[in-house]
Amino acid sequence: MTKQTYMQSLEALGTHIELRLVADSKQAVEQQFQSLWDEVRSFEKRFSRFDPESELTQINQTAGAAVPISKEMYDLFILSKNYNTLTNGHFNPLSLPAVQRAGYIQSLVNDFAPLDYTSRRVCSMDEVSISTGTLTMPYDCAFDFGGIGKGYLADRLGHFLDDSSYTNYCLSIGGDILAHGKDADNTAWKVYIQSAQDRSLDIATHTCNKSTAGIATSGYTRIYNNVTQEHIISDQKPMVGKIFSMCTVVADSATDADVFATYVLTFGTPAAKKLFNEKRVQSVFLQGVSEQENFILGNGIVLLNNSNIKAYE
Amino acid sequence: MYRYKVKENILITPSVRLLTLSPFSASQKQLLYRPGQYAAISLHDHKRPTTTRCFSLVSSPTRGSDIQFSIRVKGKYTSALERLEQGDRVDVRGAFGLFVFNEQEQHDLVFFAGGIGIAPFIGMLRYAADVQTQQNIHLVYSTRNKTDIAFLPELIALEEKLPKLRVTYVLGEGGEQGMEGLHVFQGRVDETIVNDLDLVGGTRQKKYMLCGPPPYMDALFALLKKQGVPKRYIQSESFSQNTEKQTETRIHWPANAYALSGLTFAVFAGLIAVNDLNKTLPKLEGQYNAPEEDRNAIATQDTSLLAKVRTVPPQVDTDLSQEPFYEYIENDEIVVVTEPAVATQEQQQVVTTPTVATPEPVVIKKKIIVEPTPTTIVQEPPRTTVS
Repeated sequence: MTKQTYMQSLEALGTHIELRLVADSKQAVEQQFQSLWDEVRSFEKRFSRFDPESELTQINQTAGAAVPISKEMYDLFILSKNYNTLTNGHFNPLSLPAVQRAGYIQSLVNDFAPLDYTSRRVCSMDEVSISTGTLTMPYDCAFDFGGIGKGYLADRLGHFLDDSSYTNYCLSIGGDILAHGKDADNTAWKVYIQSAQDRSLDIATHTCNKSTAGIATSGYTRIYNNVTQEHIISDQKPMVGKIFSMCTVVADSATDADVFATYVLTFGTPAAKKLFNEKRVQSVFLQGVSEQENFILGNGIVLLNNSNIKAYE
Repeated sequence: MYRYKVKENILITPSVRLLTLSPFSASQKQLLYRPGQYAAISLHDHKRPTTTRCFSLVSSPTRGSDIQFSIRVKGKYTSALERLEQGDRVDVRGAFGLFVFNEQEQHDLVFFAGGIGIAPFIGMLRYAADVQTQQNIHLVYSTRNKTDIAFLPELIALEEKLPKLRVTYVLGEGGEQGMEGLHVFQGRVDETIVNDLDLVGGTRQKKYMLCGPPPYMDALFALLKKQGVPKRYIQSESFSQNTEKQTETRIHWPANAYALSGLTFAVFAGLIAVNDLNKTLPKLEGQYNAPEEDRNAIATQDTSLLAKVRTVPPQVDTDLSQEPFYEYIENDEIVVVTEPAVATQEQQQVVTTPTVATPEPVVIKKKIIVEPTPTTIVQEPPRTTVS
């Protein structure tokens, strides 16, 4: 029987989700898709900062008190703490008040009343006390997993498929990708990379030669409903200025890729080289403000016009 | 289940391996544990999962996401461990056990480790060093000979780092060469050693934690009991690798605790049964047992109450001549009929309803639930974008 790539998509978590599963028949994937969407909805229900009933909102609303938390909340918070350390504090889920002050206060998808934390401050992760049972953060802080959530969800869905012995899939959560195994032609998954110059076009491809690849792209701006918005909100100043306008990172997991893409975009080639030497990333592609500044590190990424690459030394 | 991969697999004594595992990916769930707990690990030998075995965690949760086990190599399973190479997958379940270090513990701590039973104590001491505990800790570590001492350099370093930690080595055989400056005894832990080290008694209550092969622990348990240490101050971890009996925790409850629990349960069950039975019996009137004068007084009250009841007029409305009260709407007016249906037109009372502004509709904002697209076969490749 010929294998095919089957796809379902959905608008959720304020973004576009595409799930590709390789299988012999449509019947073989229907149940799998259903289970994956259930996971997505469960994730959204717990971690949405817009949903007034989500666990995350409950914690933000009762800041200052010790709040009982779920195992999932604990895991993601501890994971965020690790990334906070790895990125020297650049990745900080407690930046939510600053994110809201930058205008990201109203859900673009759902019709929830805004939950306003703009008067709160951005605190450090050390100010939050967490144990397996409870979380206590200062009364004037708020947090959100926006900078890690898409990648983390992709990895969660990947683990779910792994546990179901599903080997060939490619999951895209708002452009953050987790590719595993082979495509329908039994060749390595090939992922196209959006061009910073013209967002409707692609500038390069990445061939996923390793069994698992997490791929994420970060840009200084994003375009939503034909409106360009500032996309990186950080209280840390970039080390390199805005030489680069977009960064694509390939790593062992989508969460790594998600967090490191923003980090490398902010701190440029030194950060890229550091992560690459520590084997935390497989490849990095920094798109310069001008084409002459394009920078590629590692294998697998090929420019479609095959020009203007600054090789890693 | 937590997925890990082998980071390092080295021999630290002729018969003990130190296995270091790191998370399979940075985003995965990580094992949560307390110092001293154990976990079940399953290997993949020749691409097939092996049976699961339990081992104490040597690592401390204060030191990052890597976890460590020290394992005595003996038998088929642990021999398979020798073949593990960097990057190999290991599945971990847990953590389990109540044999844990508690930095809030008010008592002095005496750790007795026999052979590979040192494992949980290493995790505890690493943790104690990291949180800079102020507890007095005395580790008595028994091994067959000097070469069987695992973690010797680390124990020396820990003793320097923790001013209130004291380590005593008890060697079954062989010399003490190379252990100058350390506190070493020859033989077995017996009454002489216990007395020489002041392990029992003193002004502060001590808590004893035992881990090692079952015969070692049984002997120590008997020794401590003989020295007058109450059972409640002794906690032991059965540690018998390579046997059917896996690691477990033995908590020594006083035997009469069970008897008291049973008795309490029986008493409460009896009380509930008597109470329920009492509810089903006819009430005995108290006045029949009352003195003569009280009975007369009650009888008088009864008579007067009965008289009162007889004077109350019937409360049931038996007059069926009237229609019930009703209202209706006519020409945007509510017509309220207060008189019997047989009332004349003139007797109707007309009430004009005041004009009320139409309220704004109540808008309940709801989450938009979108269903996924139907399944389609796709050719176009995925695309990474800024979202």
